[in-house]
Amino acid sequence: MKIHSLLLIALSLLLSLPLTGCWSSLELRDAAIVSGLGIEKVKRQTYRLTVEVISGKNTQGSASANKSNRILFTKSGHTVLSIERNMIRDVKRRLIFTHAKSLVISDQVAKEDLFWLLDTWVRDQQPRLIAYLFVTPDSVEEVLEQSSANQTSASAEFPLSTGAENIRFISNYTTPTILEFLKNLFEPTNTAYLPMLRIKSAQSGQIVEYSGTAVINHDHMVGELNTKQTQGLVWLINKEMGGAIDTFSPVTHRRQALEVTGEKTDMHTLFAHNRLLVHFAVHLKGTVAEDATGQDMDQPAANREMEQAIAKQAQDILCDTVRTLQHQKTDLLGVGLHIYRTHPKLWHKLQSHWDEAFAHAKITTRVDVVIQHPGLIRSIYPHLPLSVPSISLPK
Amino acid sequence: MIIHQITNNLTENVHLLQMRFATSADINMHQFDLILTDHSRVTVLSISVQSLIDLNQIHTNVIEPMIQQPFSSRENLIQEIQQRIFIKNGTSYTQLEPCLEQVVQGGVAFFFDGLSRALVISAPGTPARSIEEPSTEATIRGSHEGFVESISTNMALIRKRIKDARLRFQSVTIGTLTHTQVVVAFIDGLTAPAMIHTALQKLQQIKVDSINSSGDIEQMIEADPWTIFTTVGNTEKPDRAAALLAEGRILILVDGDPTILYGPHLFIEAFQSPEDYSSRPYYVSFIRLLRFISFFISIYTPALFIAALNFHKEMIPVALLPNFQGANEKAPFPIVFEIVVMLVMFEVVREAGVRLPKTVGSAVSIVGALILGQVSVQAGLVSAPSIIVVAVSVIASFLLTPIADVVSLLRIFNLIAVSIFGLFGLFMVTVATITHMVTLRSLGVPYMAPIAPLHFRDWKDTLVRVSVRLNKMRPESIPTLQPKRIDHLPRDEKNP
Repeated sequence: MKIHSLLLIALSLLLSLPLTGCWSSLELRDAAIVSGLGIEKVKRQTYRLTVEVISGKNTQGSASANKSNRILFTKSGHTVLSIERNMIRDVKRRLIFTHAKSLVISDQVAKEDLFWLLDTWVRDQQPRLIAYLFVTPDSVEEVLEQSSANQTSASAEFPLSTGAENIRFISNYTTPTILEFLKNLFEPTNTAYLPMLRIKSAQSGQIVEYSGTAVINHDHMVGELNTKQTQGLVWLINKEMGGAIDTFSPVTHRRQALEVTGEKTDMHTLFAHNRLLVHFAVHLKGTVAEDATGQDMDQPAANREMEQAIAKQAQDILCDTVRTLQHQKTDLLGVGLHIYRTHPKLWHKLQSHWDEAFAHAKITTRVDVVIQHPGLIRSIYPHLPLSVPSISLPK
Repeated sequence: MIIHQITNNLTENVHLLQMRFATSADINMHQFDLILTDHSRVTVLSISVQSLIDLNQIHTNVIEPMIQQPFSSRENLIQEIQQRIFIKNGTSYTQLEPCLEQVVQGGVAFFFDGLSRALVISAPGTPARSIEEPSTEATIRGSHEGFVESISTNMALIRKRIKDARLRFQSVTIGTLTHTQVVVAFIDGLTAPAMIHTALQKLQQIKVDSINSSGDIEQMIEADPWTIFTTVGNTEKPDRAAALLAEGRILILVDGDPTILYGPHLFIEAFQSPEDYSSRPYYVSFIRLLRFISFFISIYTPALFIAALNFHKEMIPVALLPNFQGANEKAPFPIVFEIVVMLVMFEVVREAGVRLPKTVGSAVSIVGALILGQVSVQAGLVSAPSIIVVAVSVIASFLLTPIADVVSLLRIFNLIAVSIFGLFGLFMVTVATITHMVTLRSLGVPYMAPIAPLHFRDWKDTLVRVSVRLNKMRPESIPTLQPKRIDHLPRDEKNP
């Protein structure tokens, strides 16, 4: 019996040998961890891949403690795999994509080869689907290079993804991960959106700014929304998480700002006389963040006045957004999805020419704003003269 | 073994005794005469081990009463002596061997010329340590008494706390050379008879030359001697021993060792401390949870660290990645080697700290902290994260001194498994360990109770300790004949 037990143990150990992952073991010093990638098209079937590799942080040197420890490598080739393999000759270590949290593509790639890129990313087991995909009209290499400028040490190695995680609290930006993007893309309308990056010149040098949204229809980028239009998109798809909206008081022509604390959008659809009618009712609520009018914001009349001004401002933004999307024939608002879920027969009828149906639909919006409270003060000391100049809002 | 009958010829008896004890320097033989009423004399030989007996007691309570007045007859001599002396535990024997056994255990044997019987009086007076607090179970609140080497003193300490006639001590002698007295203590009518029977049966099955400590007994009576987990508990505190008896457990006292064994011993008791029951339940519950978490931290931290760095790099937190990368680049050795070496060095330092004299012991901390920690990192031999991981693991194990050995071994098993198989290896070892633990038994009681089998009532005193008002029953995990231990408590004034 004892020999039987020993034999069993020996057999178990022997059979376990094929399970050993000794060959999977890779020391950290032999790996180059990629924090971000950039892909742009050089010419037909040739792409330039830029990877930013994290180098070890010198924890003992205080002088360089706040500097980003990233190194950029660039190589060209026909496929991402061949470029990555060839890049090992430059990096001299194996590239590991498990921590690659941002992928920046040029607008040309977004317009021509988006599916090829997504196929490569999703097919491999290393890259994560919780990474962020950005589109940029500027040079991808320069975007990656400048992205960590003026960043604190905490976000210097992952500036774009860290920024994406933080700025979702601004109402005029969208930050879908690749997983969310694919989920949108594979919904019945096959449309999605991606955040855009642009290089902006500032006093301290060039910085990378989150600016606008790329509109994706089926397998390519068809257009873009500017910052204001992106704000409208965020409201219409019910993804408001915090932000502000400012306006001018119609009475005093002075600036007022509302900090948005909550948002709810209701969509109602109707198909009549061979035309789609869609109505969005957007309900915004918030607190008074700024008021240069000098009024007592605790008074219902002052509140109502500001609510109406904010509502009008929001209404203008929403109309602009809807108009642009209809012009681009891309339903990012979830109308098709709503019809697919609630009126499948109607969807079946419109599916083949949905983009056209959306483009010709009558889409109306209505905004209700509720100011929940005026902040810590009702008004600044009323006898103090206000010398804030009135400024015209940009159109 | 040859059994010698005691003869009525004192000279022959002396010759036999001299043959048995040879020229042992600590054997004391003394001849004196007793007077009979008919003015005849009876020569008496007393034999004892001088260092084992209480000389004053023998002289005052035995010898003096014997020589004060004459005895009536030679034939009734032994009975009259037994009535006259002030120690009432004398036994007469007709064979030599039982007399000698008693002599080497602190008795005095009297051989009488003309009588074929000997009288043995037990009067042990060995030098003993005074009662003091055990260093391994120091508490802030509660009794500071500890058991000593003398089994009779230990029994008295227990009897002092359980003043009930149902407390029983059943004695067994083990060891052909040492004749060590081993006593099983239990409360009749409370402790399950099957447990008592099992314990006694196991002790009676031990046939060895010598028993030097309770550790020998512990390893001999374990149900599974090959496991790393100890299924027999131990304590040096009488108050804890009394509490264990009151729960329905049994104690095993070994003469010459202050450590008392008890059973059944459950795994969950490693996270309990005797002081838990002296304090209020809120902080105690927090500390117990902390001990539980520390157990997992101690055995899993080095393994998870290696799994993350070598196999599953996606597990590394983003914020820590640059630090790990930078630290790892400077160290020349593989990370597994670093962790193993650091763990081995820690075990060496800990063992050295225990064995070294106190005056030199402080040097160990200097060597351990400065040389192994700071200087080795500065020299670039090991990386700082490795030191931190090992330090966290080791510090967490300080909360678990009852199972420090188990924690060290499990930590190493996990480390080896992860180094070869990755995270899969960690799960394999964990499943294997848990499977093994649920098969263990301690005096017939499952070792993993009340977790497996689930006794939900006992969870009131497992990971947390609830108020005594909510814990009126004895643990369901320990079979007893009386489940209820609290009948009534003073009413709560706030919520009557």
